[in-house]
Amino acid sequence: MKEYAIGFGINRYLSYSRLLIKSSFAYKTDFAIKLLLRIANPIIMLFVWTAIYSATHTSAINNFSLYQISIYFFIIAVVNSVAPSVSWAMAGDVRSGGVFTSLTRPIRYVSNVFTADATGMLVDTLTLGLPIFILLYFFLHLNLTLLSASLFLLSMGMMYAIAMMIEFLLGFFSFFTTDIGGIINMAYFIISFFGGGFVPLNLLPPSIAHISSVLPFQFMIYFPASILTGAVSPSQLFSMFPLAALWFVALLAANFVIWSRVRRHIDAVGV
Amino acid sequence: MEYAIAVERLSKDFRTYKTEHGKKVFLASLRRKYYMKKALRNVSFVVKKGEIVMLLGENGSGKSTLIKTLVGILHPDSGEVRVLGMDPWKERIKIAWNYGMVSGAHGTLFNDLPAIDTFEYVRDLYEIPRPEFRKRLAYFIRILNLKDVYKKQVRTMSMGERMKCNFIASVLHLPKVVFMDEATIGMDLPSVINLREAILDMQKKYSTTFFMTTHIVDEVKALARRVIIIDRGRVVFDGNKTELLGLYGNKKYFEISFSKQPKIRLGRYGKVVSRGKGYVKLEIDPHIIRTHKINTLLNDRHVLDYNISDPDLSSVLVRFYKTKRKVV
Ligand SMILES: Nc1ncnc2c1ncn2[C@@H]1O[C@H](COP(=O)(O)OP(=O)(O)OP(=O)(O)O)[C@@H](O)[C@H]1O
Ligand SMILES: [Mg+2]
Repeated sequence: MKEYAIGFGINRYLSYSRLLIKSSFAYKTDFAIKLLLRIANPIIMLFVWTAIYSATHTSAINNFSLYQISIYFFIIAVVNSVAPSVSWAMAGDVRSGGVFTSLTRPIRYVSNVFTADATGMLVDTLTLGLPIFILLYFFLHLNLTLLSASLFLLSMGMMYAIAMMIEFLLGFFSFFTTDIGGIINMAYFIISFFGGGFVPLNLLPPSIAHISSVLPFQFMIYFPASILTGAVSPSQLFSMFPLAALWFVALLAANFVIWSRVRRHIDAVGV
Repeated sequence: MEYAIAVERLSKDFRTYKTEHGKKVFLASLRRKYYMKKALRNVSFVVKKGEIVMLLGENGSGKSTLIKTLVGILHPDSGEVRVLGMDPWKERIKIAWNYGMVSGAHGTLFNDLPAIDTFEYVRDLYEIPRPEFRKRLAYFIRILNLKDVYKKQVRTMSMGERMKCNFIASVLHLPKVVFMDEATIGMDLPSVINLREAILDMQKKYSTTFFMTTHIVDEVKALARRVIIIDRGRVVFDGNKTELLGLYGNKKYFEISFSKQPKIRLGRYGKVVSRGKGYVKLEIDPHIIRTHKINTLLNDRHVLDYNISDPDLSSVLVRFYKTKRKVV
């Protein structure tokens, strides 16, 4: 045994990740059912927007065609498969005592949570995100170029980073209150509303779109979802970079402050 | 020398609130009355390397809180804590390499997988070389009589099996200090006895320090020389088990069963503590045993059998808990 080894010790987290993958296949979770649930929403949206477009007798609302809007909602299903969900994991840890176990091992709780989520992300991307993307490519004839594909990946990276920060922030709330489910769902509603989850941001009334344009939520849904529709140009995406970076840093700092407070008052929920 | 554990004037309060019942629940949840619960008050003690210390006390006396503070999960409000010379709050991870936590309340096993997967995870976590890992695992599996159990999905294990595997997962890295918080609940007798042997064995071979809590008196008898008792967060006893046993005077119990009440007045020998049909239990001074007085009694033809025993730990503990006397 190593005496006083500290440091990153990536192997320890990789071993944990391997265990989780094994764990997730312990029950043959019906990936087909999960997949159907994921694409149910975009299919409903397809019906709704078809009705709207035919009722208004237009082929494009704010330069957004029905075809584009269909792609938009299907990509959101892909985004949701990749997006982190550490808040729920942390709420579960608080309830099940998983925090206690982590804190008695030579590992960092936050890194452990991240590892678990990244593992889940890999599994979900392969079993849900990718299949939906392939369906999209063949059935909706997605126009994929090297440029649009790289921009899409870039926007997904931004989504992942910012969503992770917000998820951790939400997760830390579960250390202050045992009834966190309501708070998370409320937050998801706000994120969806201002992020373009219900209606693409470019179709929102200008006043709301204006508020959205300074919030971080647009990076979590609207940008990755609309890149492949062609509604967002490369230069538009790049111009948003400083704002995204600013939000990321601010949220990261908030996380650091809150985590150190949480650690100190961890008994609030009873570990 | 450096102590395994050193605690000085440690205090810890919990901010908590009363939960209302019945109709008031809703209103109470709107405006909670918070108050401070003193879980540890001015706790001081040291534990030498290689010692086995039993931490005793009634439910809610602060045992688990103390252990959680010792391993750096909880932040002390005041006082100093050192484990292997380090501050557990500031150097939690460094210390975590060197202790093992076995908790009856918190399992460390992955429920959806066989226990062996958790063991291998522990191997990677503490960087235990593979041959060494196999050797240790074989040892624990033999001693705890687990044969093929560890290949079963944890979810489908019996409670005792889970407890045993939990113990293994927490000590595979042969830590210098092992904290055990009611870690044997649900284990069968042969396993418990083997586990005690394993503990004594680890203490002898590796000078492992054990700091444990239990409500099982047999465990205290078998393992501890030193006992610390806490009551409402305060240390009320810290000393040898024999000291604890002698706390209420150096008495012995003298039990006799008889076919017919002997002529001799039994009260002469000591206090009658219990009496049944053809049976009596006396609390006596040990020196009486050596006097001729006792012989007269034993030679009485109505006496069928007798037994002399030390006061047992459970009765001392019950008495101690009841009186809540502050001893140290
Ligand atoms: N997180 C917490 N918040 C508020 N109060 C707490 C918390 N944890 C423990 N307590 C209270 O502090 C006291 C000590 O609890 P602790 O768990 O240390 O007792 P214990 O000695 O381990 O008891 P047991 O023998 O039942 O395990 C109890 O009164 C308990 O209700
Ligand atoms: Mg306890």
